[in-house]
Amino acid sequence: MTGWLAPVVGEDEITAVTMVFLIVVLLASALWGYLVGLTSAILADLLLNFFFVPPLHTFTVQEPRNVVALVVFLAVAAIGASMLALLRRQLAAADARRAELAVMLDLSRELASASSARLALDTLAHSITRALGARRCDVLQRSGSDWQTVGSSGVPVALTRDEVALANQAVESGQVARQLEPQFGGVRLQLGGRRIARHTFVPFRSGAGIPGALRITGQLSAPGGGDLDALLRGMADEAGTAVHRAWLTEQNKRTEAIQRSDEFKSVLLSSVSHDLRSPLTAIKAAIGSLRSDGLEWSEEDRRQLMATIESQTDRLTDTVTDLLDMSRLESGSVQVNLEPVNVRALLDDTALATSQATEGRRVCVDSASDIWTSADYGLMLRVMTNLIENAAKYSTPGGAISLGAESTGGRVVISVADEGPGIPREDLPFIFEKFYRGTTGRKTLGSGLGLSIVKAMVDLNRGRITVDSTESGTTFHLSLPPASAPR
Amino acid sequence: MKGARVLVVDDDPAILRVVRRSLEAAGYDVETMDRGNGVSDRAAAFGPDVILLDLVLPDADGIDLCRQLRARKGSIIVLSAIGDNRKKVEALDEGADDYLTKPFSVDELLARIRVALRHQAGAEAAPVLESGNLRIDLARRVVTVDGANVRLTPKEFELLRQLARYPGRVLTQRMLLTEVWGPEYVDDSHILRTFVHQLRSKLDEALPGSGAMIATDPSVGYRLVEPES
Repeated sequence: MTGWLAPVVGEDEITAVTMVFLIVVLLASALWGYLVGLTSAILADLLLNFFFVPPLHTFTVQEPRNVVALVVFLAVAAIGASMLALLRRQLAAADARRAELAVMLDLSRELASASSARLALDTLAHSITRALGARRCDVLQRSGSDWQTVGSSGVPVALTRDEVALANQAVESGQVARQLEPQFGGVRLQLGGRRIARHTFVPFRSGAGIPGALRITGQLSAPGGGDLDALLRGMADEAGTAVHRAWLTEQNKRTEAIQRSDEFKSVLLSSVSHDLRSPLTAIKAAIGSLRSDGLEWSEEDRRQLMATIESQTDRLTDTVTDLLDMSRLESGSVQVNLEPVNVRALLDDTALATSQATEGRRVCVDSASDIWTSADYGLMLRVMTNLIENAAKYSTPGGAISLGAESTGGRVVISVADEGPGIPREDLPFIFEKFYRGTTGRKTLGSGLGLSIVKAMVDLNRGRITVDSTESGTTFHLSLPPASAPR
Repeated sequence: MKGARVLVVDDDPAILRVVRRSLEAAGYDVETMDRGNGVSDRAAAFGPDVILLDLVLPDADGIDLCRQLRARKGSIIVLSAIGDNRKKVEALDEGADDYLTKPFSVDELLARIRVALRHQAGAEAAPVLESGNLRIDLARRVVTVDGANVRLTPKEFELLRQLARYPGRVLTQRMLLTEVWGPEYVDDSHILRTFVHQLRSKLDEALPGSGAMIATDPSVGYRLVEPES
């Protein structure tokens, strides 16, 4: 450029030339940074002096004002270059911050959309792995002296002794701790002048004060070339929040379970006094009568007293079975094995199993043979048996009981209908509640748990139970997820 | 089968007392134990034909005891609490021959003991199995109900044959699937249910009501019951 300008530019245009040189210097500084800018400023000053300032082709300067001009040019070029370089650095820093912010935003968004607090920790581990280009990430929590993995982007693995020491060191110092890759045959594995880290431990403290750490595996880099440690600290803060949230949820669930079981126990106590005591009283009275010396019993009387003892024992057994079932369902210890179940076979099986309870009634089964639902067979058999025995117990003696099934609206709907007097309107909303007996049901035997057990079992099968009742009969509808026929 | 020996193992003295009295009244030779420790030795010394074994004992695990006792001849009938299906099935798979759920009636107990003793007497598979109205000719693979021929597929025949080998005794889903379909089908309980359903329909067709001969023990398995006549 100098060669091109030198012949055509006279002494008077030197100002314009200076400006052109200044632009070049500033451009160089903007593109390649301060050092390049400063070097080009000095070079430009020398070129100006050599080619444009008289006497030409020497580094001497004739006129004092030109000396001033050259010095001023150098100063302006240097200052301009340094300012541009500063701007460039700030831009780069802003870029890095923006990238960091984007990562953190993604992180919080994914955390917020996780369906459960436990799942959120796995999501967090996955997001961190992705954002840092790591191999895997684990969210660790220290309880006592043990470390446990509470979230992971892979299959959780136990910490080695070295890793435990590093995690402890990170938590105690509050600093990021790194485990470096071992050296192979004296050759240091290096990348960008730094040894490759195998694991990076970033400490955090959750809201509940539980110490924890992120273990990030692999060579890490901050997106946008920003400050890796700052990003790691931000991620650790997120992890602390997520761990705290998981802890709160867990605490909440436990409290709820305790509350539920407390409620259950208090209702149970008031109910047990009636349900267990009355058959016991009847049995004791019958045995007392049979044993008493002063009384003479006819064969018929004896037979009746014995029958009382037997039927009351059955009643006690039923109540105890119901209570055990309910407490097992309440505590969540019932194992559910969902598999394709042929509904027709289920209905036929139930009809067979309840043939004793429905003696003297017509039981009709109306179902296509190719309807399949996804359910636990054992539980569903219990549900259906309960419903049919209920129908037999509460409906008009001799009335028919109809079992039906159909596929509608993407669900399988099973119905159990009786020809009874129906359930009073005011009782309908409460019939699935524990120990509810209804306003007219009191005269019939039962623990008041039957339908709530049925409902709990239907819930476990991912189904819904509803009831329709008129004066000419009651129909229970079970809506269950469909399944395709196996093989 | 009068004079058969029965060993009763239960930690509840009231149950021991009642069961002993009922069994003795029925003509059995009875011994009782209130703990699981030393059951093997006692069984070796007494030589019972049937052992009634409570699954829940304070000093031993009933399943372990089943495993120890299954090598000796004689039947094991386990006594279990209501609702304890998983334990029941485990005991049956580990060598118990049958189970009774507490509370049980004395009639039921005596019936199960009779079934167990009958199996011991006729342990060799006869060429023709007969149970109530059902007649299975193994050699000719012909099944008749009350004289009426029942056409069965090979698998249905095999399933019925397994059930009829031990009439009155429960066979777990696991046992039936292993015996009829093979060990790799052990978890495919839906296959078993489908075949039981078909079998019942075919029996019902031949003689209405005879399908009920195959009874379901919910969550445990199936047994062939002789129709009450």
